[in-house]
Amino acid sequence: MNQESLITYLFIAIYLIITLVVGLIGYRQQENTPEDYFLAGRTVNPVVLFFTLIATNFSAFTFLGFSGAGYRTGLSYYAMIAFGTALVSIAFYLIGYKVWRIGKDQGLITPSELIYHRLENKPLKLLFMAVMVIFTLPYLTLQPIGAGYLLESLTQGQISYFAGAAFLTLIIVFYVFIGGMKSVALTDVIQGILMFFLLIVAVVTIAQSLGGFTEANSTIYELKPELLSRSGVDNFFTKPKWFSYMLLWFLSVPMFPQMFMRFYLPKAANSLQVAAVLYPWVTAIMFICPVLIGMWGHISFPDLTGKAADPILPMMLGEHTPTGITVAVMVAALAAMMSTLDSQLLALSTMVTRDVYLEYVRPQASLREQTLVGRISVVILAVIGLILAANPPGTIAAIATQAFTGLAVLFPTVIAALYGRNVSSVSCIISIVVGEIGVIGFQGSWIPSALTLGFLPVIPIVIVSSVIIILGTMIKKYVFSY
Amino acid sequence: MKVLQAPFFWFFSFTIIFLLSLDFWSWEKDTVLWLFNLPPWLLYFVGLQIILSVVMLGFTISFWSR
Repeated sequence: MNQESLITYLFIAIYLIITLVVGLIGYRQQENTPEDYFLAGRTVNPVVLFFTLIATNFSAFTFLGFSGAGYRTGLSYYAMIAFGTALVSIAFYLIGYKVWRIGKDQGLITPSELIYHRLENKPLKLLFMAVMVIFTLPYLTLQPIGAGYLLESLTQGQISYFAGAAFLTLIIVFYVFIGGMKSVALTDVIQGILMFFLLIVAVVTIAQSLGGFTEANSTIYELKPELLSRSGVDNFFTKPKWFSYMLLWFLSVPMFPQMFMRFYLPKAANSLQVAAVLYPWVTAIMFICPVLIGMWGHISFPDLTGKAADPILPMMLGEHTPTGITVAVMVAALAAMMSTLDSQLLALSTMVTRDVYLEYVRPQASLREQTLVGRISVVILAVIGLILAANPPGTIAAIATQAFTGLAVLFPTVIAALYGRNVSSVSCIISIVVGEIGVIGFQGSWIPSALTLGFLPVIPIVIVSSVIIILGTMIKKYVFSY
Repeated sequence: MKVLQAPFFWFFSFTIIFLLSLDFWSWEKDTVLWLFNLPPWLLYFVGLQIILSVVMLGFTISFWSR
């Protein structure tokens, strides 16, 4: 084994050992009750909540997806993804604060429990849960895909794509299995700090290698000026598409179960307030790094197309930074993936346990039995994610956008549940069903894309879903008044 | 100030910030390079995120915390 390989394996080993030790600390603090296993006993402080929110939301998509999109689309991708994600901070109040208050008062654990508590309709609860699970799976699959790419690239093929994905998933399953949310939240703090600082290190080091920020951007402008244009390469962003993207993340990110359930975690409301204020700073600083690196990729790797551009970040690191930095940044990328995957596994297993097992299989299940079922579900869901990752479909950005659109359909129902009065729960069911038919229809091209009028499908779909709830509630009111 | 405790004030403020992200006036302009040879619209979006954070801080102190 040469020195470079030794450094690589050493860094990976140190990171994984630290993660496991922190995971074990979470395990030792565990009280083996569902509230403790799934929600860390609702005692999370502002610092941990902030890091767990960013570590959960920023994932393989942040490192590989953003840099790949930066390569294909250019700098305008940063403006879209950074500001669009920053707007999610408003949802920390609009959705998060109410969810936190109601969850604390009523002892709710899953998102669907909240929907049932507000709208009292069991089929709606089941449908809501099913949509969250189905549309989180593609995004969950992204994490082992990203981890596999990275480990393969880091070890120069010594660890194959699938072996890398399987190995890291196994580590995650171990600490989620034993420690639940306490382990996940604590590892998120380390993973969040790692990814934030090492992305900055990566962009600064690569810029220096290319002659500095000014020089690198100047070279790109000479090579391919459209990478710096407002609408992106080949006018990727049209005005309706831009408008859609500005809303897509706000509508969908809080609908991911792993994000939604984080709203239940804080001990006090000030944790959400701190996260809401700091979130735009993180997106502003952190997201520019992978997009710039991806865009600068044209200097060293000019002819990549489509999916081939997704690993541009590790390629650029390998080309422009010393081994130590390359490996450290790749480890940070692994941290990003692991911190999202562990949260997704835990969130989905919570829903399977509470909304399916406890509701339909064994309503009399003891608290201990519920945590056991949660742990077994973590393993089963991890295996499903790995099977899906075995043959990765499409580009990372394309998979993510599809998952986000499917989840955005739930947004009108959540708002109706939190703020509406006498909302028709049947109209919420119709709204979700029609919305998801729209998502599948546009995806499968059997609904003409011309119907979107140039917007992303998420806009007409969410509008139609919202109108269905409003009309359904008005009809209910009208019927009751007679 | 009473206006800071009115929900409509904050709804209006966040809507304005959202509308500012639809910077269609700069779409037709030729690309010029500025600080670090980056286009001005990029710095505009960095600034917009800082403004969002500052407005969120004001919202938190004067409305959310009450």
